[in-house]
Amino acid sequence: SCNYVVSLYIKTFRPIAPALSKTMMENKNNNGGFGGEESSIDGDILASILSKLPLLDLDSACHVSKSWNRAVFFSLRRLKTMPWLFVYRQRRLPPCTMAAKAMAYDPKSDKWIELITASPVEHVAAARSSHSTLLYALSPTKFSFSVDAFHLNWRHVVPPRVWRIDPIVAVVGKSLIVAGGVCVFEDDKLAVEFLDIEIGGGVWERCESMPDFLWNSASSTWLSVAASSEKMYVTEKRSGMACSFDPETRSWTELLDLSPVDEYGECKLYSRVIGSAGNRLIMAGITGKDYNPTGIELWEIVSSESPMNLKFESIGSMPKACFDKLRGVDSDWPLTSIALNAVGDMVYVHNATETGEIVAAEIEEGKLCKWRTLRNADATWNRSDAGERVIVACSNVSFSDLKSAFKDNLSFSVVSRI
Amino acid sequence: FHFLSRSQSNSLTTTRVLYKEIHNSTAHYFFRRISSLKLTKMSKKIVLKTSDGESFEIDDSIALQSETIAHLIGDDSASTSNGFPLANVTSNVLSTVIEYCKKHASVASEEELKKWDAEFVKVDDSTIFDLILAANYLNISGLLDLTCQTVADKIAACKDADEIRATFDIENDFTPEEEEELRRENQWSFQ
Repeated sequence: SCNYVVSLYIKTFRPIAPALSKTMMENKNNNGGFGGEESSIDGDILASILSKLPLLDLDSACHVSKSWNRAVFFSLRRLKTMPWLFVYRQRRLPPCTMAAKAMAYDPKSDKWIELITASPVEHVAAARSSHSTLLYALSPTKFSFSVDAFHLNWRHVVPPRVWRIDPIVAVVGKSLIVAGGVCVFEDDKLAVEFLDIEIGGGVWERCESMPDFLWNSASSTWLSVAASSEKMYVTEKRSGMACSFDPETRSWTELLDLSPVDEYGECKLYSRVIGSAGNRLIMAGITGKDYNPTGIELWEIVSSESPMNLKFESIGSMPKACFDKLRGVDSDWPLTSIALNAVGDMVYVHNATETGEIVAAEIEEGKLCKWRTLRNADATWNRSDAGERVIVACSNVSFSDLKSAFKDNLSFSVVSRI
Repeated sequence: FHFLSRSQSNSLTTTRVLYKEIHNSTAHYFFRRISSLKLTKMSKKIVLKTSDGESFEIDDSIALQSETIAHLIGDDSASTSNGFPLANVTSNVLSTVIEYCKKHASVASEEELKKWDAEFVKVDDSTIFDLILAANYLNISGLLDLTCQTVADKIAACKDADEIRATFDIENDFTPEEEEELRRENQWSFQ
């Protein structure tokens, strides 16, 4: 009973509620606003109104009255879910506990929300994120991973048989895949193992190793990973050499070259990262040179039957103002690589060195628009101290995810504008 | 009414159109030169009749922003001369709706329209609700979106369900037991 008080959310910023206009309630031809027995703002219109609310406000709406509760239910169908960006922190030194406080950005309300969990997860190794939606921690004794929206639920399994440092990890469908990494004891540092996560007590199985061209770069430092519902895509950030893995056939495809050329046949990118947003494969690349970067461009990668026939459809380029903010105040430092979090119709890009501001954009009709930097940027990097690591993830948060989080005693507090 | 002369062609030459209109038993003749760049066909006037008996005459380019009217025009052109009766819309509301449609039919940048929209919705709650109902009835998607978003923003500005109820004067019809159950369970109360 008392537990629930903790999970009610508190807003720390709001304007004064508009004064009630009594004329609204006067029944002039039944135009009585929301109230009254025969409310002419019927359920359908109310559902349209509610579908425009950010998730946290939808929660208070469903407690207002029975008709509002019903309208919230119907509004869910036309709700445009906009994936949240999450920023977690973790102690570097053991015990490697995840910080009880995390930050989440809701693009629908354009606000940061502080999440406080009553029971922070303790790991034995560094937690990392992969392809935006997966958080994992690999240690010699166990492999932990989480794929739910708020990353509150962690599963622990035995670690892969081959001990590696910084492998690439992905969840594709029901397969958890661990590949490459820096292997000290193993001959084949391109070893790939997978686990069926739907079977309890599953066993890691070896399969076809990564392609040879990745011999020198098969770790998460050099590679960018994207996971669609059917395949895992891996690309070398610098060269654009890429390939994809199909967990059904457990095999790798031929070499792909993620280097879009301009009209002069030149590829202007020196570093790229990939992500899977909805059912699109997206690539963000930095143009210019790392000591003199000129901008960030984004493409959708469309592949036809023949894998060498890749088409790069330009979906947008980052406006200069956002690009400068992404680089941050130390814009003399080279921009070695960027991090991309792309889920659904939202794209978030930031400097991989975790400085500068986070840039966000929405995909509308196949093109990026509404470019902006996230306000309260210091809510992210600067909040952590030297003893903490920062992990950035992104997930689609549905209304039922929110309700589950309340039940798991996660409290939400909207951060006021500074 | 009858048109004295009318060019039927959709050509890009300038067209002179003559209107004869009877107003308070006085005839007014208007000559109007319609720029060929703006219109390739002749603009018709549509008459709308509100629930409180007033008539509004507007260009069809403006009236057609309402999908309801567009369908009516398509179905029965005979009623054009008598005007379309709008049983659910009063003259106050209709004139405001027409203001919106006129602005959105005019040439303006997206930014300018956004600014204008923001000013347009700075009205009291009852007007907003009237506009929502009118936009819904007349099926004007832009206006419906705008007004619904305005109300959504007002709801979002409330801290919790109590404040929403106070702001919009809604009765809480949950019993204390039902409220407790709603909080406890992940279910919808109307099941």
